[in-house]
Amino acid sequence: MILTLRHFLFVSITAGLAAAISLIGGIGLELVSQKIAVLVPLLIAIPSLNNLVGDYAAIISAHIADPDENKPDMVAVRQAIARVLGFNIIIIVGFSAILAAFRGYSLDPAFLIKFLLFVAFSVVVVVESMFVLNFVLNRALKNHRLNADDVLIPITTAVADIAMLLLVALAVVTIF
Amino acid sequence: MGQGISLVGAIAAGYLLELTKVELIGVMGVFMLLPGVFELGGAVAGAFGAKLNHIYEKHPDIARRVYFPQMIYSLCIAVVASVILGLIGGVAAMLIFGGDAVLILKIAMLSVALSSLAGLPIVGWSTIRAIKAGLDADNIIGPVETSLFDALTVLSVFISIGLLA
Repeated sequence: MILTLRHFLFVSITAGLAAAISLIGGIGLELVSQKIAVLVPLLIAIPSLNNLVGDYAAIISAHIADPDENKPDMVAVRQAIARVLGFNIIIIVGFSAILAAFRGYSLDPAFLIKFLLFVAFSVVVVVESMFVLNFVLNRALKNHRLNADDVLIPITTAVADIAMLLLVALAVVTIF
Repeated sequence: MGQGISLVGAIAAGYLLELTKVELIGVMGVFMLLPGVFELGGAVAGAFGAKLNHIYEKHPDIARRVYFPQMIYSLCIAVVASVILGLIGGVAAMLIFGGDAVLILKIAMLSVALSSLAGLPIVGWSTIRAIKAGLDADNIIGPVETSLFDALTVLSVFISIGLLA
């Protein structure tokens, strides 16, 4: 009973602390909340952008953590991601713009171009950073004889989420 | 296909965010709290789905008996974890933005409870449907729970603000 309760508390506290790390990205959002509220397409796109970079962070981590004999060629992984990434970006930008138009947001070409370029730039930057981060972390974990499968994905998805939200906040202040 | 499901849900969540933004912005600290609540709901639901899948794989005869206890267990984890999240979020909101720490704590707890109460049964049902269809539930549940919980989270935060603020 005590073991079960201890396990329950450990799992709950760990889950709470892991979720709390995301608050770092949330601070950036809160700082620009008034400004982002009027940038309707960007507001609508935020959950999609976070999901996208989180998914790719997990995919990259899963591949990098493969045992050496099963490890795929990371260049091939990068190319596979690149082939789908453009399509995902267009879907996110397109649907966000359409839904914003439904809400009465006036879409001018200059804004749309900035929006598309920002989404493409930020997603590529975060995904590329995940390759670097995963490489560094995987090396560090191997040196300390830790199992990368246990730690890489939670760390990299959290970092990807925070990075994307902070980029959005920065863009609201500087670009839009 | 999994990513497609995930994107559709996330876009829906974004639209709900636009619909509810006035109420969300009205409470200092809620925008900061949102990513944490997104993360927590999805993590608990994902773990529940994965656990259910693995129990069904190894012990299909007892799986039916453990379904509800596992769901309740996951719900309890979500609630306790939301206290941790709410405490940290509340203190951060108070120190950085001058927000109401207790209100942020209450919103975190109520919104995670609401989204988990609504979402966990759906994730459980989807897992079992996937298993019975002969699919690998581990591949299905991830996109389902992220897309579902993104939208549920926005709704539950909105409802929590309406009830508490």
